[in-house]
Amino acid sequence: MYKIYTNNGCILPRYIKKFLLVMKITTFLIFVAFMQVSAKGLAQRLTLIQKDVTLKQVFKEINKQTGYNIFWSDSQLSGDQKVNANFKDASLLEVLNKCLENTHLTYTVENKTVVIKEKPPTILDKIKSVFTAPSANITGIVTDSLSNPLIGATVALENTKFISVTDADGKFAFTNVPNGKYKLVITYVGYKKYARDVEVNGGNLTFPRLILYNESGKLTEVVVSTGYQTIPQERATGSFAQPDKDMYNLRVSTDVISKLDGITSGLAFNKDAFGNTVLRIRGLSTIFANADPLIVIDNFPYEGDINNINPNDVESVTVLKDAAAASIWGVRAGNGVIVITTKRGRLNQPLKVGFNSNVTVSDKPNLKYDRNFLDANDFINVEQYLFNQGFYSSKLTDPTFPAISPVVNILNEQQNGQISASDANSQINALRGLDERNDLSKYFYRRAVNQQYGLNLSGGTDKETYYFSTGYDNDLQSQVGSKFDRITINSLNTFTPIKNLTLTAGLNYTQSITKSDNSLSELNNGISYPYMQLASANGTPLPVYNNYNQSFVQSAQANGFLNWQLNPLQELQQHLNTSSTNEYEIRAIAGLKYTFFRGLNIDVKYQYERGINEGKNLIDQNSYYARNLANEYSNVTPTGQFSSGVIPLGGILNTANSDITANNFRGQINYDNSWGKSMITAIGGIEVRQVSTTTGSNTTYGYNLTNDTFQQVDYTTYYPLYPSQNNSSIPTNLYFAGTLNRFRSYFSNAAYTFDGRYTFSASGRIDQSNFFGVNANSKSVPLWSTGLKWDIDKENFYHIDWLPSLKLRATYGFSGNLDKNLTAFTTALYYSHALFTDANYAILQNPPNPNLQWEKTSTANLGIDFGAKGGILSGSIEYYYKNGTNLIGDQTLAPSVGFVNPVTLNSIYRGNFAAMKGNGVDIQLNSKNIDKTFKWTSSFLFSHTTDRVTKYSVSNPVNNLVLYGNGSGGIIYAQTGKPVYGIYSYRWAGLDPTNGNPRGYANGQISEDYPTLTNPTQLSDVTYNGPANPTYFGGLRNTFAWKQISLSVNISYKMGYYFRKSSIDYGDLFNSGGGNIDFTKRWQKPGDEKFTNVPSMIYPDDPTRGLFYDFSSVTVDNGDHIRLQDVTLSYDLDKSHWKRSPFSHLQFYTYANNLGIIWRANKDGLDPDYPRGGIPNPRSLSFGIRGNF
Amino acid sequence: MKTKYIMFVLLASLAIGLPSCKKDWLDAKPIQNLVIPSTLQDYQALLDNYNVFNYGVQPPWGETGADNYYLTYANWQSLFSIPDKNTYVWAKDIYQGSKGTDWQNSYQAVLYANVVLDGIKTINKSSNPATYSNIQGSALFYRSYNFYCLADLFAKPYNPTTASTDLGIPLRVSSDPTIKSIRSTVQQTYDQITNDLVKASTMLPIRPMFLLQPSKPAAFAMLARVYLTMGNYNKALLYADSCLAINNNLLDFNTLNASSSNPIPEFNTETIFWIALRRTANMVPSRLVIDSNLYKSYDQNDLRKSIFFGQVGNSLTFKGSYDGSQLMFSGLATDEIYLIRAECNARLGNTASSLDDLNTLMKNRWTAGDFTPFTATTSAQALQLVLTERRKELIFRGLRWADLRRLNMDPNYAISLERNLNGQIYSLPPNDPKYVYPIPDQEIQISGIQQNSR
Repeated sequence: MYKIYTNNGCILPRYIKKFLLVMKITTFLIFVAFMQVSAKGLAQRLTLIQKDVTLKQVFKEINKQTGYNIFWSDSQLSGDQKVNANFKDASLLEVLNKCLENTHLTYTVENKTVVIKEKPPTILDKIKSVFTAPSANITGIVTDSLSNPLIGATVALENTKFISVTDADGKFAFTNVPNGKYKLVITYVGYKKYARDVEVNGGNLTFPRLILYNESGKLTEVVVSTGYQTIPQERATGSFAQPDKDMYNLRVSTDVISKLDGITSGLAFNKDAFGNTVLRIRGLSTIFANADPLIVIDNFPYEGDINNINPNDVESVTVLKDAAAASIWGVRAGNGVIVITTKRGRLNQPLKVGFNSNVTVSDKPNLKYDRNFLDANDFINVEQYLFNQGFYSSKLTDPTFPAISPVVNILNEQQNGQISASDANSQINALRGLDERNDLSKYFYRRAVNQQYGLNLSGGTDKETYYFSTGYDNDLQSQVGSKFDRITINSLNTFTPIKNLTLTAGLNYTQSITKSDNSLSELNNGISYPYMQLASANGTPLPVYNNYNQSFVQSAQANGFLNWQLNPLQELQQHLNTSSTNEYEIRAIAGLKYTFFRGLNIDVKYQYERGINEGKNLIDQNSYYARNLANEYSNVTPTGQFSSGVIPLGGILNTANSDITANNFRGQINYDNSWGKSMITAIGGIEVRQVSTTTGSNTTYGYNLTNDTFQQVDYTTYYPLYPSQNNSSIPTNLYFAGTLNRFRSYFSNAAYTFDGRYTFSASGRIDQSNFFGVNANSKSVPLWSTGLKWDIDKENFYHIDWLPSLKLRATYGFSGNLDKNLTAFTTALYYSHALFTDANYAILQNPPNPNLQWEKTSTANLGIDFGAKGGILSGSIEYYYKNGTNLIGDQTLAPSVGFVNPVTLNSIYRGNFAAMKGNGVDIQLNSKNIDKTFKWTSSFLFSHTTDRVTKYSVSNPVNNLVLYGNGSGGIIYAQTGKPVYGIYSYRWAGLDPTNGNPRGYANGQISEDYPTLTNPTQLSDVTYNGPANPTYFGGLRNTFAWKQISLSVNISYKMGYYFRKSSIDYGDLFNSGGGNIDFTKRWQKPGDEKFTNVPSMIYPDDPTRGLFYDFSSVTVDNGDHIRLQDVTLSYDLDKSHWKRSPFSHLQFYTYANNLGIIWRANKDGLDPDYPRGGIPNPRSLSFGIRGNF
Repeated sequence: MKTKYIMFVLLASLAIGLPSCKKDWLDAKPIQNLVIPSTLQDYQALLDNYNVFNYGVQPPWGETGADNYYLTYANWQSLFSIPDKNTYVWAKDIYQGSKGTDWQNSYQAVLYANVVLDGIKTINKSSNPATYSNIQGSALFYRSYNFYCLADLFAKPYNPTTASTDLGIPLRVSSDPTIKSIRSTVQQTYDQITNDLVKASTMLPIRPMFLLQPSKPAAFAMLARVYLTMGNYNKALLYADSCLAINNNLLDFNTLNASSSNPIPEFNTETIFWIALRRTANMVPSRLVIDSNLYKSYDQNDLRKSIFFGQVGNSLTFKGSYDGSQLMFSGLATDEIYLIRAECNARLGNTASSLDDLNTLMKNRWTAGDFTPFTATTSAQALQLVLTERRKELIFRGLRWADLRRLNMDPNYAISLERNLNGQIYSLPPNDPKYVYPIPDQEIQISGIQQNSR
């Protein structure tokens, strides 16, 4: 078996180098090198000074320097035995003795030939071997090609009892493996099977890096994190969703959460009735309690502002959807959990530097999207009509000088004979061509430019890992004067100071500044008119008169008041009213993990989180707000002259500070073991958690920014305001509040897998908290879940060739929720600063409810995971069913009991009176359509979710369902049999052909009796249009790749819901100038009713007529739409394409976001995410570069 | 192995022991300003809730249904609240499916009082007897005040001959929400009110800290008002007298600026107890119109003519709230008590005393130097004078509805009310069942109590 290599003649040193390289490469092959070198000219003494050389290298050097041939077998040199050579003119025997010391080898020298052989066993060895068979340990770390440890990979010595699973660091170990030859096999879903021969020959074997290469096209995300443990998806029974990692990385955003939109199964980004984005995992599970998912960052619930997290630091995101996945989080898991894990260094990884930098430019917001606008020409016609009706006469003589629009002013001057009819006409006509939005867009908005930079360093040795990153974001937002700056610094290190002990220490620091300008806020008060001019043609800022009559304002200074003009553009240019928020957040993590023996360890974690938020609103003394306030609060002579001021001159400073401190502590015991065909993973532990917040705010008058001086004012006296004559005290936002939440939880989770085919999991958790007044025994609630997984494809009877992967999962369990505002006793909330008396006063908050319990939601989940041959199609289909019981709901009390809910102002009280059910489907499909040089892959997400209130004891007035059923009143009106948020409307019977009046049905008859129509008594009197939130949603992503270029197109869709659009309200139009484009479609003459549903304009306005129309079924639209969400184009370079690149990987990318709606069901061109106004997110384009070396 | 053992014990005790060390750790208060009311301070804070007891809370339907004002058709049509709209025309069903919050809000005040009265029983009075009495008396006063307001709207006027069978209001005197509401009789209702007020008058201080809080003179004044409503002139006289013995201040209208848009200052010297009517769209100055005949009935030298009334656009409006604002003061003030004492004296035949009080008050209402004292030869004449001035003095004070209800029972003073909307005439004859408002539907449905027939 010995191979002999004979070298004749002289050897070039270059040749030797090459030879050594070959040696290195073929080191795993078993062979013997025989070197025969002529002795001439070579001495028997040699010099070799080198650290960490292998024996092989030493032998070769001996051969080179002495000419002795050396015989050895590679199997004798198993592993990479290294020595520190420090020989100067040493004899051959000295060198051999020294190098083979402490090994199992010895040698013989004969005829210039050295033969290396095994030491004969000593007597002691012989005695030992009587009792123990020769054995050794095999340990190693399994990673992917990027050095990321693979957790949960199955490692086995084929046909033996040695089977193990890699732990969280990718490590495995077999102890006491008897000597012999084995086949080491590593398998892992999505990766190519790894196999190698190993021979145990007494010496321990260590494999520091066993690399598994992924099978392209198959699932690459295979590990899921619950925040308590990391488990391979292969053995997870529950429903976990992870966003496509490539897509997550390619998206450009300042925050983490918005990157998940449309690429995460079951996670919906809905808009509430106020236009705020709300996150829902598998729809709603509660009526009144908090409905937001729990967000977990690095093992602990995150209490801070999610915008403080730098998205570049995120390694992975896992969404826990069903009870088996989430119930480990107990009462906080009722709405699902989003687990975010940040990046960390890897063991045995050389220093890696990564960077990412991008810039995003967005279009100016399209102000003309808003339908709540009537062009100047139509608007002026209405004003002229109203003027002729005498509508403005009382306003014009009102002693409180309400604002009058310029057109009404002109008309009044004309009526009073101050100007001629033709002058009036030409002045009015000049206004007809104006559009307020042009000025707003020109001066108050701009293209937003966001810049993002990130840099990280990571690496590790076999004893420690480190990760350090820093990020900087600079966003210039679309409203002039608004910007956001953020710096994040992040570090996470682990150390193994002694064997079996791992210490973790991490520190995150975030600092951000948000600035905004409030110059436009004063325009929201008072009247509006579309021809408002904010600047002259040459850009000079112009005053507007929307709060008081123009002549009153203009004469104010002459009467001794401060200038009373509002000039928004001037406010903007001079920064007279600005807000800023400084946020600081620090998170410190300490962890300690001690392994007692293979499979059992104790893990103790602590996290401290502190966030400080400092808000400042600085109002200059020259701002309109300050001047107006000073003028209003001044003593005035009977003839309207200023006599003395109440509010000191100077700026006004409003501050609002909040501070949050969270302490988390967790002690956990982890156990992993496998024997025979069984494998078990179990955790158990206890967790305590305290979150305290304090908030405070204040107002300071007479504030001087440069000197930090201020003046005292009297907040208790009521002053008559001028000119309104209302009595009011000086406004202040002085306020203090604090909360303290404490939780103590006991949790446990175990999974047992038999034969790699059957997995059974169970988890349980008890939560306790300090929620006010709940009896000790109902303070804790046990929540549990259980799950099963069956890998059918591994059964002997399974022979479906085209579907090599098929797995079934089923889970059932409970999660909880709570409404922090409810208590068991009569409670009262204290308030400060009562009207007039300034005393503290209290509001009765809650009737006693000794039976109060936590909300409980049970979830059943059934899932199929499959993969077709060759990875052409793979995916999962899941069905779930949720049943919420003991939900917080309202119960009506007799009004004479006197409990008036402080929020709803109804005579109701809350308790565990409600129930709801929900079900749905999540489908995820990945396909490989073309897989040649040109690649085309698709990924399709589909989610269906429904919720239905099944028990609700209060029958809300039907009218409240119509007006506020979608949550627009800030109050939830639930209705048995319907979703929590629904769209209801008055039944529509068309316009009256004779006068254009809207008509509905009263008692089954067509009617124009608006008081009756707008007070329906039965649910059957109104139309239920459908749910207010999407019931079907998802996305389709197509990725095309050719060589290094990749193009990805992402389409998202939302279906199965309704929204109410805004339309003309004549009362609003007449009284405050609120226009709407529908005005132009109004009924004007008989016959129009065939083309339009917009009622005729009547004077005087009848508010109930307007109410009926605005909430009738003709203003309800179908929300279905498909959106081209984003397109990314990227170009990747690595060493294989650019050999001399200093980067191991480099990527250039562009990202276009908010590209527009492709299809919508509504005919008005509305974006259903912005149905009643607001401005849709403008299109944006990003360019970036990312790489590492 | 030893290290491992020590490590295990150490870590296990750290992991399990640390979190469970403190037993009362979970008893901490989660929201700092949240309390279970249990101290005198807590109860006082509940009673200091001005949104429940004082500020724009008194039911205004008496005033919206009374004859102090009228509305143009356009203004009436533009009213948003259905009950406000319907009470103006005395519709049979004032709710038409809508809620009507006044009933509920008055009972909310009753509940607050009951929470205080129930809770204070657990506190030892001797620790702080003055504060204790004040709180107890205040709660009794507030409860009675609200029962009175409810009875004025939802129960028949007090008629001694039928009071023990006429349906009164549910008298909730416990904070327990599980007790079912039942209707008392009118007699029981007024007995409860008067008995509690008498009790309160013994507990309350002579001077309140703020005029928003009840006091001894406020209890006396309220007793005078209630007994007058009941037609018990002896007792009304007694309590009016007791009140004025403590506070007989009057505000000289000559000191006021009639051109101001709200000339009468808030918390003026006549105020005994401050509460204001709930704001309704019916009675905002820009909408309500004063009857021109009523306006004409004020003498040229009567300062009230220019202080109470002003012009908005082309119509006459009211600007004389006893609050210096547009909020309509409906509390207790000395002018009302002077008029009660004058009326009782007149009804009891004490003509001189009656005229004395009337003239004392009127002297402060007339231009200085131009006042000619009222004279009468008979007590009936004096009564007529007093009632006329009562009508003119206590306008928009939330008292007119009660006056209409009690005076209509006397044919001499009975009047019929009329509304004209775009030519359609609505009328309310004396003693009509529509003088009793219906109870909200929700109450009828849940409690099953008897609805008022209209």
